[in-house]
Amino acid sequence: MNQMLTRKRRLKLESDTGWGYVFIAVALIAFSLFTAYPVINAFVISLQEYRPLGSTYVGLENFKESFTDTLFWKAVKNTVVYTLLTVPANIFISFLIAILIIPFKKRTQTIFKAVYYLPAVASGVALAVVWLWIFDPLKSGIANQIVAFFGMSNQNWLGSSATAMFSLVLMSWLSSHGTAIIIYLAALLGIDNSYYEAAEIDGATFLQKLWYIVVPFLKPTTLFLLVTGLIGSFQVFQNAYLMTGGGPDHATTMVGLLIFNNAFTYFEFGKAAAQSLVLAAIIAVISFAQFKFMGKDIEY
Amino acid sequence: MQYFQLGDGQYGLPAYMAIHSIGGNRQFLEEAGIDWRSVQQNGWTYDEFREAIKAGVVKDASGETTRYGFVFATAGVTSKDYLSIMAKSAGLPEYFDENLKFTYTSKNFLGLLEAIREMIDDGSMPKELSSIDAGKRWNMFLTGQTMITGKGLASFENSARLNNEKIQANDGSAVADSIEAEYIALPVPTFNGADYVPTTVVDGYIALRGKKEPTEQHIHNIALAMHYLSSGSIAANYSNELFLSPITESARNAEVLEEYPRNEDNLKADQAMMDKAVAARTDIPTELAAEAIKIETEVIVPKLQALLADEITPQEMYDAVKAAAVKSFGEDGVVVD
Repeated sequence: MNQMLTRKRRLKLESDTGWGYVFIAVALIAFSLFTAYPVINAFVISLQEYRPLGSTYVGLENFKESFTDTLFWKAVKNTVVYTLLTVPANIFISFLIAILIIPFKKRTQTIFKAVYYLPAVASGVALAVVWLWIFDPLKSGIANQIVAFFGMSNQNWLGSSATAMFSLVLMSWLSSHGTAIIIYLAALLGIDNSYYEAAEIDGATFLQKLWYIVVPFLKPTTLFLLVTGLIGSFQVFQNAYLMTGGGPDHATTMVGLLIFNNAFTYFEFGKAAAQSLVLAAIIAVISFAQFKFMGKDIEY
Repeated sequence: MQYFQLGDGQYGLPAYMAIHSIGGNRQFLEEAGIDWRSVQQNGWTYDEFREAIKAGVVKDASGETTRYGFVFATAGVTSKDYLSIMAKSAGLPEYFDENLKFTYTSKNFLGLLEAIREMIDDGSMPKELSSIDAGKRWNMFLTGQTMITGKGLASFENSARLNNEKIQANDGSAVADSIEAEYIALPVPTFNGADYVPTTVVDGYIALRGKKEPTEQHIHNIALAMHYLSSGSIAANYSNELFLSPITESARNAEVLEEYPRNEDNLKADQAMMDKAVAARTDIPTELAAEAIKIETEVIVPKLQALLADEITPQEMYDAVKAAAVKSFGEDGVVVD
C-alpha cells in the first residue's frame, strides 16, 4: 500500500504539472507571507480601532474619518502635485540622458550608467543630508549662492510654503534617474539599425528619426516607466519625512507621510491601514487607466 | 518618581535629570552689556531678553547681519521643542490645567506667539529660522553667527570646550570657521508676567508587558534590573559623561571614572534652574494626552512653521489651534480667558 502511494507521488512529480507547482511554490509562499497576508491583515486592521492588547471592531469608521479629514485630502492633493511635477519630467530627463549616452562606445556608456545609477545604491538618508546642505537657508547655502549669482534674494528653501514643494521636486529632477536611464538604454539598443539606415536614405533629420522611430519603439518602455514611476511617486515618503517633515503648514505632507504619522506617531493603526488601502485603490485605478488609454497598441 | 507614574502605577524608574535651557557666548554677552551672572541666578523677562538679543546683533558695512542675537533650532521636530520650552515660562506649563482643560487656548498662548514673531521681525533672529535645525544652530554658535542659542544642555559647555582645545591646538577636526567660545548656560525668559518654569527632562527605564500576565517573580526581576541600571556607579558614570544629574543618591555619591572641568557659574545656574523644576503631572488621562499630541503634530507644529516663515499671523495660528482644540475637547474642555 505504502509502495503504491510513493509510486503515485513520484509519478505526479515526474509530470510537468507537479514540477510546475514545486517551482512556483517558493514564489507563492513568499508572496503569501510578505504581500497577500499583510494586505489582508491591513484590511482587517482598517476595520478596527487597533490596540496592542486588544482591538475593537469599528466597521468603516476609519474610512469615514479619512474621507472627512481635510488633512487627508490636502495630502492627496500634495501627492498628486508632486507626481505630476516629477514623473513626466523625470521620464523626459532620463530619455534625454539615454539619447545622449547611446552614441558613445560601450565602455563610456558603462561609465555613464554607473555614474547615474550611483545615487540608487547610496543611502536615501545620506542623500537627504547632502540636499539639506544644498538647501541651507542661510547665505552660505549652495542653492542660495546660485540664486544670489542671478541677483535673487536669499530663499528659505525648505521652510517656506512657496519653495518647499519645489525644493522636493528639484531634488527628484536632479537625482534618481539611474534605473530609468538603464532601461531606456536597453530599449534603445533593441531598435534595429535598419530603421535608422532607411530613414537616412530618405533624408530624415536627427529629430525626425527620434520622433518617428525612437519614440514609437520606446512606447512600451515609456509606459512601464510611467506606471512604475507613478506608483513610486504616490508612495513617496522618505524625502518629505527627512527634508521637510511635511511642513511648513502641511505644504509637503504626502499621503505616505500621513499614513506613517497615523501609524507610528498617533498609533492609530486602523486609520493608517484604511488610508493605505485608499492609496492602493487610487494607484490601482490610475495604473488601470494608463494601461487602458496608453497601452492599446502595445504588445508584451 | 512621578515622571514615571501614570495614576497610581509606577511603570519605570528615573535615572537622570536635565534642564532644557539656552546658552550664550560669554564674550558676545559681555560685549552686548548683558549681566549674565545675574540672569543665571535671577532670570529675565521677555522684554529684558528682547532688548538683550537686539543688542547682540552685529551687522557688516552693507547692513547685512553677520551675527544674530538668538537662534533656536526649529526645523522639523525641533519646532515642537522651541514652542514648548518657551511655553513653560509663559503661563502654559502643560497642555492641560489642573481641571484638565486644554491651556493653549488662553491669551497667554497668543502673547507667546506674538513674542516669537517679534523676535524675528526685530532682526534679532534670522528670517530663515524655520529651516534652522539642531546641527545648524550649534554650528552658528561655534562660528560666532549667534550670541545665544537654544535649546541648550549642560553638555554643550563641554562640546564648546573641546572645540576650543582643537582650535588652540590647530587641530583640523575643529568645526570649520569656528571661533573660541565659552558657553554660558542661561534660563529661558519669562513671558506674560508668568513664573519661570524650566523644561525638565527625566529619563530612565520603563517596563513594558505583553499580552501574557507577567509573574510576580518576573516583575521583581525587571525591577531589580531597572534599579541596577538607574543607580550606583552605572548611573553615575553615564550621567557624568553626558553632564546630567543622577536621580538616585547612590549614583550622586558614587565615584566616576573621569572628571571633566566645569564652569562654576554654569554649575550654579544649572542648580538654580533645577531648583525651579516642577513635579510631573500624573493625572492627565492617556486619551487626553494622545489627543493633545495629535493637535500638536497636525496643527501646532505645522502652524508654528508657517508663523516662523511669516506666512500666517500669531492671531491666525492662535485661532487655528483654538478651533482644533474645541473640536477635540469641546467648548468646556478648553481654557477661556
